[in-house]
Amino acid sequence: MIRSDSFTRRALLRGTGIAAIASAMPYRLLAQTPNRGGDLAIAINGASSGDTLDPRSFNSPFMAVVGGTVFNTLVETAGADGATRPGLALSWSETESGKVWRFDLSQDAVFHDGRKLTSADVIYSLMLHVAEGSRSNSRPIINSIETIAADGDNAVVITLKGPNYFFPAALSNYSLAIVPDGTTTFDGIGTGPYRVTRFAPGEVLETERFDGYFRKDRAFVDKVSLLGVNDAAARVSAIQSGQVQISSTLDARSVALLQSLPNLKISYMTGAGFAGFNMMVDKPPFDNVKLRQALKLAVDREDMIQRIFAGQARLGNDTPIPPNSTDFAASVEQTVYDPDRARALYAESGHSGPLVLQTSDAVGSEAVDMATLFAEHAAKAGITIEVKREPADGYWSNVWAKAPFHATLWGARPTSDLIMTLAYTTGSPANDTAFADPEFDAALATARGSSSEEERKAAMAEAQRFLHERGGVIIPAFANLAEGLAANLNGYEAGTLLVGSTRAAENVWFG
Amino acid sequence: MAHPLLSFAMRRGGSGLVSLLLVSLLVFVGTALLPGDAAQSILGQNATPETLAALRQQLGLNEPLPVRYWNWLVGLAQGDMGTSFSSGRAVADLLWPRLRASMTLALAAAVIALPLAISLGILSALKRDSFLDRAISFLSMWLVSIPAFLTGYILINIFAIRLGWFPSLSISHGSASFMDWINALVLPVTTLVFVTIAHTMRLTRTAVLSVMASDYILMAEIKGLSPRRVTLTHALPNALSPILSISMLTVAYLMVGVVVIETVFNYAGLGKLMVDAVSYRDLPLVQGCAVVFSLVFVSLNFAADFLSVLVNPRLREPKE
Repeated sequence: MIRSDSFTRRALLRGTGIAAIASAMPYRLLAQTPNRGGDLAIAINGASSGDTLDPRSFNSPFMAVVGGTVFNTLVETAGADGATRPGLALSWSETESGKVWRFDLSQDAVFHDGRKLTSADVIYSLMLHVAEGSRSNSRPIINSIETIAADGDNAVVITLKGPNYFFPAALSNYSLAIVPDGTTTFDGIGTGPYRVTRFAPGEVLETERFDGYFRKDRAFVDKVSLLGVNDAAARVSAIQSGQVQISSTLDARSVALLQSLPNLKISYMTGAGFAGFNMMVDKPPFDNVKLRQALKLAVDREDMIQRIFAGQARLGNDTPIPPNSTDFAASVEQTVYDPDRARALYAESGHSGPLVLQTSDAVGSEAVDMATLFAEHAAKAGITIEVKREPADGYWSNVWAKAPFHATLWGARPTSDLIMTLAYTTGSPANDTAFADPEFDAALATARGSSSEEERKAAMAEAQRFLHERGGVIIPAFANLAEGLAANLNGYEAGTLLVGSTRAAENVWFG
Repeated sequence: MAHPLLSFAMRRGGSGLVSLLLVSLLVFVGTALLPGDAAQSILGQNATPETLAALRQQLGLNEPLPVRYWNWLVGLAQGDMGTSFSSGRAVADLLWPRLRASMTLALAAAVIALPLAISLGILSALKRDSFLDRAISFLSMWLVSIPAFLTGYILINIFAIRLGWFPSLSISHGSASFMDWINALVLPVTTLVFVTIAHTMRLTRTAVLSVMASDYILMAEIKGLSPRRVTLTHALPNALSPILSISMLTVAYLMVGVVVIETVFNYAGLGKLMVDAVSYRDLPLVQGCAVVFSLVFVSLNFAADFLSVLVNPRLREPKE
């Protein structure tokens, strides 16, 4: 007990430490006058020749940054804790206990074609995501809207199907970019700080500063090029040679070598994405909660952080909410490696024989290493795990959410509520452990409907405790993703999303 | 004179078309056999039964395979390569810029590598077993035994990172000047020259040497002609047809086989497009790439055969 408390405290201290440094930094740097000018090139992974500028299709690291460069969302997130801040909506307020939300829009925002932003644009842009044939990752967010109406040109009133105090934060999802009313051919007209001059899908998006940008004290560099560089080694050489000034996700092993270079800085994105192991709670032997608890105790998280992530990861407590999140429940005891307790629980569960853990490169090379290391840890508790490597092709359709024990991967969702709802509530189509727990569902619903922050956090903590104790997912760690920055680049604020919460383009300057 | 050549061309062209058809059938069936369908891989984890069904309908995946193949073939015959599943753009629009990029890279490498390799090969053959021959052989074998991606990284490390002369990413900027564009091509082209030169050089040397061993060369030497004249006017024309074949195959390799180099230098060529397309199960795009690839291969093979016949009178008019 004492041991687990110290872990929680340490994790908390570390988390707040990072947050304090990160939030103090931009203001100190902003105190110097930012220089205008210069061209910025950013190398980003996940570009595809199938990319389009239709915000509904944004579903990759590359397109997320395109969103943050060319477009705006109503609400934004920034900083190491992913706190919300105003986007095109300067302020918002609720009535009817979180069921009706009013967003007041910026009156200065202008689209790249000169039109002024009005509430009609916002309504059109949001409702696009539930239009026939939409494959948007924001669909569940917009589906929770019952009605949406304009209140004059500069405000929209959204009535939800149920109370949800997480709703404004959900609107920060990068695919909820605002486009002009009636847009049918998506050629990149947004309200963002940079306007598209050329787009070659899968290769490059070139932009220039948009003089009409509504934040007059932002957007310092003249041109921004987003280069699609999917190969990790190519990103390393690009940032090393100075061809790009920002690079997304660098390989953890190269970082140690890059750190010694004088022309580079390394920054860490503390996202909520994670790789973990799913024990399907509806399939034997994992329908047995004791076996699930035994396995959670049989993984040495600290060792995994050191050996897989070279020390750059935050402890996971088998819930999708990382310790740096504002919703993180510090009150829930941190699971630590305890082979003796794991052995005892394993004996109590009555299971014997090897457990087959299916994993794949589709989940990432780290997931395969994590599985191998997990098997080593579990062996010390007398539990045999056989790691079975599946082909990447077809992993998501044939193994994921189907095999009793398998590796999973989740990208960050805009709010804790969304990931908890999507991945762990009863009956959700993406519930990949088949977790069905009425108490958990109820706690989440309470959290959504709580107007006081304290109550909301308490309910969220309850939900995390249930998942931590009974859930089927093992989340050993949240990787901090290293990003490379040129040494002469200022104003960069690392966030919970890549490339400075996707909006580095408008914040940085050369000096 | 022209008649046997013409019939040769027709025969070769016909068999080329048959190969193309077979390749397209193989690719069509092959992509259909891959685990997981296009709708599933486009939607990934966001897939729900309803969106999957809607997307399958939209993409025409519910029709039987032979019907889809026939429709695609009819479209192709009319110059319509279909619409990409993942981006909704016409396949031809996606293919052309990439084909241009791949051709630029391949031709630039070929223009440097081929004359260099052929003259080194002839030189080696002429100075057979000399120090020069051995030095050329050693150097070229050494270059060819390093994997292409490693050569690429070594060049990047020296010329992009340490010296900063050339960019490490060969990304075509629309706004970039001609010089920038040349600059961006230097490293990938050099890598390709390194990996293709040895092979072409060795084959040229062997071809020239085997001709040099024939009786009519001995005759020419007995007549007292200079070694230079024997090689250039008696041996070389006869060695030309294997050299032409090698050159054409090298160009074909440069066009379609350089996906590793494209990845290392982040060069947006056809290879990368096809890899993207396969991972997204974008069938029309995969098929389009495969057709272009096989078209390149078939036509370069055809060119090689045709040129061999053209430069070799004995092949031009075969004895009954």
